[in-house]
Amino acid sequence: MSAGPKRKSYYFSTRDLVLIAVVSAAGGVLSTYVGYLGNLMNKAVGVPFGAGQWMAGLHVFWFVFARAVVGRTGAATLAGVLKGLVEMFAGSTHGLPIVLVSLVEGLLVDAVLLPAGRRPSLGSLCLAGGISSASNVLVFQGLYFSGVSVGYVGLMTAFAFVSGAILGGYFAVGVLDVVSSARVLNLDEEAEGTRRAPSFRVIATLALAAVLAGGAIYYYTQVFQPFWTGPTCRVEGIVELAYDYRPIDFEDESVSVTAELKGAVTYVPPTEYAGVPLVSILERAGLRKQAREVRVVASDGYYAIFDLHDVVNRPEVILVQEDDTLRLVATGYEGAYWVRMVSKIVVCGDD
Amino acid sequence: MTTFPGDSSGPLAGEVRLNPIAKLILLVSACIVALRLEEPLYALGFLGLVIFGHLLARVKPAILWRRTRGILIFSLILFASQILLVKNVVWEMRVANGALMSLRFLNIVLASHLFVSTTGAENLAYALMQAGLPYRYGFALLTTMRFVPYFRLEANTVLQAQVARGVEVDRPTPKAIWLMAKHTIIPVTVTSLSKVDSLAISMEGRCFGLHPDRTYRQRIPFYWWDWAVIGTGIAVAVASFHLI
Repeated sequence: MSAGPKRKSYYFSTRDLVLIAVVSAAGGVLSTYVGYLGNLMNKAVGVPFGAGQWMAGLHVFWFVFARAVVGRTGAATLAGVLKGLVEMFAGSTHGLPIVLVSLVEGLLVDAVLLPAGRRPSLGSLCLAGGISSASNVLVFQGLYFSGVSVGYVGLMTAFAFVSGAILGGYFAVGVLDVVSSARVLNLDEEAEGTRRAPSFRVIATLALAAVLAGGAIYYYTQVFQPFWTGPTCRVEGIVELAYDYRPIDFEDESVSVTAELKGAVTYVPPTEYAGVPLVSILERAGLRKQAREVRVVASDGYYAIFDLHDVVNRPEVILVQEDDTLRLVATGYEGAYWVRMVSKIVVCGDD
Repeated sequence: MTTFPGDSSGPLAGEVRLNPIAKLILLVSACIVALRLEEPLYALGFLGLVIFGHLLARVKPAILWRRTRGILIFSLILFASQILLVKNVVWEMRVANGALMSLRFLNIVLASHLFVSTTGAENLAYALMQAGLPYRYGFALLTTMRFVPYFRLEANTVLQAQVARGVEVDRPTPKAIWLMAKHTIIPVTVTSLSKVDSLAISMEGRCFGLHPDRTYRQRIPFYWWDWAVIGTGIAVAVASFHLI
């Protein structure tokens, strides 16, 4: 009698696929409730979004758990896609982006646990949960750009990371213990031959963590541009610390002045302007003793030169936001000094 | 029972007018365009198109309202928060930014809602499998969707049971989050995992995965207008990067 066709061996066995499917289904179902609690938390704190990030770990728990219980790279990514689709078809308040967010979260879990072998350690699971959970903030900000400050985004990311490490990583280990002790699943199917020495795992995990940390440092110091929070201009020259001026960083120092523009061609009657005094912007950079002049440069190359001593004693000379650009309202100066589209403020010495 | 290979001309599945893959690509394109629009008026026009799409798909206004009123309220909160919380920006710009952000959110969510209203998850899975996705992965999607009603019932039962016992799983506090995780997620997870082995053994007993291809009872067709929709969707999405 013929034995029939031989069963092909697959990367994910049928059991793995079923396991990922049921975990994703359970995750998709409970995510609706987790989202509801997150919204309640936002309302309790009084913000439109952000506070719910304390719950973010419960969204990535399923990916960490799927990866840990299946023991194969790719399980978390597949769970991410499936859970995202379940949420979208269940009427998620995010629509299609939830699939992208879940996919990125799953991918990051797989990436972080890549060197951790079939049974990752508690530390690596917590790290994977934290990084994966934090990614949701950045993906949503990248998509929608809510205009919130970098500080608030950082705070949300930190909340999400902590939540992911605890509710995604630490909690997943606890659930694995429960599942194992309840004998719901046999989690010890790992072949002895596939075990690697613990030292290798530790070294590989540390190496990956170092690469990720190095990548993060490189990204934030060399590549990263803060989320657009309004126009910016560079303050440089003979100063202690050159920096990029952003109106949002000077919210507390904003003043209102009434000024009249009298130019050779243009005349604007007395109008009220709100902006930040030029002197405050210069003081933030720290003026050096040799500084004598301030050159306010526009993006088209036009510039106006002010005497530093004069401008320091005129708090009514302010930099205002005008649509997507900055404009100098040089109260008391003639129209040619009212520089539009300011891109640079250079402090100079005696030429 | 008659079955057909995925690439044959077997009987058509129910009321499939536009292939789910074409709809999915159209949705992705719509989301890209919604994110690229930077003028509130254009975004408002886009919202009109999406709502018109709902009318074309004969989604009842009452159902649309019931499903999306929470989203509309959230959009209003986003709009109000931009106006009230953002400082140092002129009034007109706050209104424009708030309107743009709310409309962007609404456009994406409503476009997704239109997709979900006109596309069954099963049809999407079958269309993907017939287009070349390995059927084992398509099956994973189908299994996931089929377990959803069961787990929804199970999760609801567990939640109600914990609330009846006095466990604070429905409060927005850190303690409640932990209790919710401990007393809700663990029981649901254990219940879900208890199905895994029996289902996997049952499937393998029926030779699931034995052959590289599978057959289908119904075909999700791919017409010329599906290609046209896909082409248009991609072209509009690409154009949005150059024109906007």
